[in-house]
Amino acid sequence: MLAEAVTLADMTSQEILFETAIRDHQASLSRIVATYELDTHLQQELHQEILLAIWKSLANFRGDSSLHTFVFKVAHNQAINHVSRHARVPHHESMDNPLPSDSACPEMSAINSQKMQLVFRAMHTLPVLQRQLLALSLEGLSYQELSEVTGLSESNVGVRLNRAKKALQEQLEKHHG
Amino acid sequence: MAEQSQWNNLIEDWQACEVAKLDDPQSQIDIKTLQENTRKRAGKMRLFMWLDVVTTLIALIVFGYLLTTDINLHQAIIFAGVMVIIIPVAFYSVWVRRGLWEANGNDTKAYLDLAHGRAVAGMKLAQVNIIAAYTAFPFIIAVVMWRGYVKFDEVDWPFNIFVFGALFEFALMVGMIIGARYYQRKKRAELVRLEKMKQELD
Repeated sequence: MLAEAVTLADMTSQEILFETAIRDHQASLSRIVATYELDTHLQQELHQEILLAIWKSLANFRGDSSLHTFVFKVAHNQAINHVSRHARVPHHESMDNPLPSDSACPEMSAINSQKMQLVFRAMHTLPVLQRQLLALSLEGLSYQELSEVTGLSESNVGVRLNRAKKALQEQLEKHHG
Repeated sequence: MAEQSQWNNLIEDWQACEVAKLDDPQSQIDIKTLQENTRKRAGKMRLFMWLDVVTTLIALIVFGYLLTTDINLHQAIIFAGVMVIIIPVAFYSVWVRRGLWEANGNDTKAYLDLAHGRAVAGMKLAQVNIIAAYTAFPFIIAVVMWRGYVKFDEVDWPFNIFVFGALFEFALMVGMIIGARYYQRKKRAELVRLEKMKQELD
């Protein structure tokens, strides 16, 4: 919990930026974590890693991009780092595999809506970078912002995002039978 | 049109969705903890870097001292041989990690390249450590045993300092090789994942 007793005057610019970034993106960051990691313990670990990465990166934040884009950029990079390091956890399920059932995935109980639990599970069957595009787009990022975060051209973002949407739709339909 | 409206609905649901355990204030960390963690990590990195430098320096000083005295020809040979290995390895480890210190890439593509570079450097360093271990330790063991052999009449075989020294060096060699192989396997798995993600972006 951010120390509420600390007055604005006592805080460094890095602390102010961090407080703003976390306050404005707390829910988004939690959803990003759930997009990349199903295991509850690893979710906590990834969440802390992301907060730490944001904190460290804010020291170099020069305002070239918006704080919004900056936070997502750092969070997704950290999530990719997390996925690549945890070799025991498959980085995505096969598209042919059925979605895991509720009982097979108790971690999903942390997500407050049944529909969204299904969406998160479907997203976990997709390749990491499709997940990234979907999650960022669902957070409301524009094509230009998506391009800034991923390093893809805007037209490429459009093509890939449509592909990702279709793949997600297929997974959801498959689950509904 | 229907697809767009479905997508817009999904956006609304998504943004209203909460991940309870992570939104819990207790799972947040305060700035002091962040500063402490950052300080600890930076301290750890500095410690490893200085350990690298200091051990090389100590080895150099000891070697220099041995060269100016006639304490033990065998020890001088061991240090000379090991320095021939340690110094290039130390330089190589700095050279192979050049440009890989940035905290984050500018975007996902740049970050994947950076992470890929780090994994490749890690694998190369592990391989160099394995080669160094296979070269340095047999050399040390050979000189220690040679020293023991020269003093054959004076020592109580096989329970003497030379056998103990050789066994100790052998255990160090095995430990170093197992550690480096384990690290290499971990890095290889990471590399496979990163390459897959890079392919997805290409």
